[in-house]
Amino acid sequence: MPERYGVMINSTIDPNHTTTFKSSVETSVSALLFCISGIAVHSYDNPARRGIKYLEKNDEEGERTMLLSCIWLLMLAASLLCGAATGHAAAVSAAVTEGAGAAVTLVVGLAGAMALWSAVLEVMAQSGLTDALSRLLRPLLCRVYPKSFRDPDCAAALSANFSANLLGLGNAATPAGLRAARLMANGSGVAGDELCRLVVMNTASVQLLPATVAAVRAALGSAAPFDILPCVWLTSLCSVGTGLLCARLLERLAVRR
Amino acid sequence: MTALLVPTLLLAVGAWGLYRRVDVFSALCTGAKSGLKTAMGILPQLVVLLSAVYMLRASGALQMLSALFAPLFRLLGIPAETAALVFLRPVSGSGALAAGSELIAAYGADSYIGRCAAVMLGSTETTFYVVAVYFGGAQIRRTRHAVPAALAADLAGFAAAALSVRLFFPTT
Repeated sequence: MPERYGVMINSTIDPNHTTTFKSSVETSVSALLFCISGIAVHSYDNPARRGIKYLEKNDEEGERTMLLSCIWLLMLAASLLCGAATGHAAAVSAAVTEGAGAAVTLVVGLAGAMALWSAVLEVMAQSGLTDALSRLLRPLLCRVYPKSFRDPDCAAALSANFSANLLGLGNAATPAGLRAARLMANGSGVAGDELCRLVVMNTASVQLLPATVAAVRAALGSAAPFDILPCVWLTSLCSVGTGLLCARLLERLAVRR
Repeated sequence: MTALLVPTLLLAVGAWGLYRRVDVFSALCTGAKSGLKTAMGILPQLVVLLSAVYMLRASGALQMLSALFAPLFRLLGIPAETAALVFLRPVSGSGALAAGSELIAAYGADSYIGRCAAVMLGSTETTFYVVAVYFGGAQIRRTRHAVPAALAADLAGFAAAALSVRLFFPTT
């Protein structure tokens, strides 16, 4: 299936796409573009980049929304240029209000399912299910954070963070994770190995029931919104596994140097 | 089997709550109120970002982006149409939701692309937001290998999403 889509897209720019030399050039060009964007994205975090006064802000959240402002303007500029170039200018201007309306329709469709799901999560939290789950997960998490688990407060915060993420309780996961992060930070301003692992575990989210996505699918006409459940579980496991593996590899590399 | 999952879960959670002497109804209402607040909270960001995504789609810019990265994505098994979602996901949660919902609306919720977009949305988090919150909260300046490892996790997640949809839904 991806082959079909890939060939479809390639045929719009070059119908005679047959030579392997050309395809390897294409692959290397897109790999180069990918690396450049990766470097650009990584330098976002580089302290040296903060010399750019215009984008400098006092807080991390401000920097992120400045980045979003740039991205949004880029998206607008790109669509204007492409629209003018391909002659779809009328469609582009119609799409502005169409998109805004679609957002409201989407949220109205989502709101009910999100409200119901938060209701269920509240009952779970109040009836101690989150605590029970976090106690259950301790032996597993002990393997991921061996040093941090020696401190009982840190251990409790780490398991609360992971179990809240599992249940999709973002509001409970973040304070617990922050508590654990503050306990793990040793005051030198440099991220320790286990703090990096905590961030990787949180960014490769493992959720047992992806309620928001299922609500979006249901609102947009899916027959069985939760039929992607095994896919989501498999994908979450892969991404967490890869993230932790990369973290360990990079830790070892740093030690060798 | 999965059809009965959600009602069974609701019943089980309610029964457990009652067993633990929790006022289930008022807990449900409190939770529903906070869920509605969350939905209203994402509405402004979705309006702004979804109009930008619709403009990109109408002007053909999304197709050009997909064409640009198609060879690389094909190597990883990721469908090229999800390029916008792949790039927005680590940066912005609402942007990813906008791009993903637009993909699901354009290609159909039960199609290959629609399911890929849904799985990608459901199994990854906004990398830079998490990095900012956790390292900011812990007063960390040098993040070392956290960002590359997190981005590698995201990339593996995207490839695994496409692979798992092909595995579990081979007919689409």
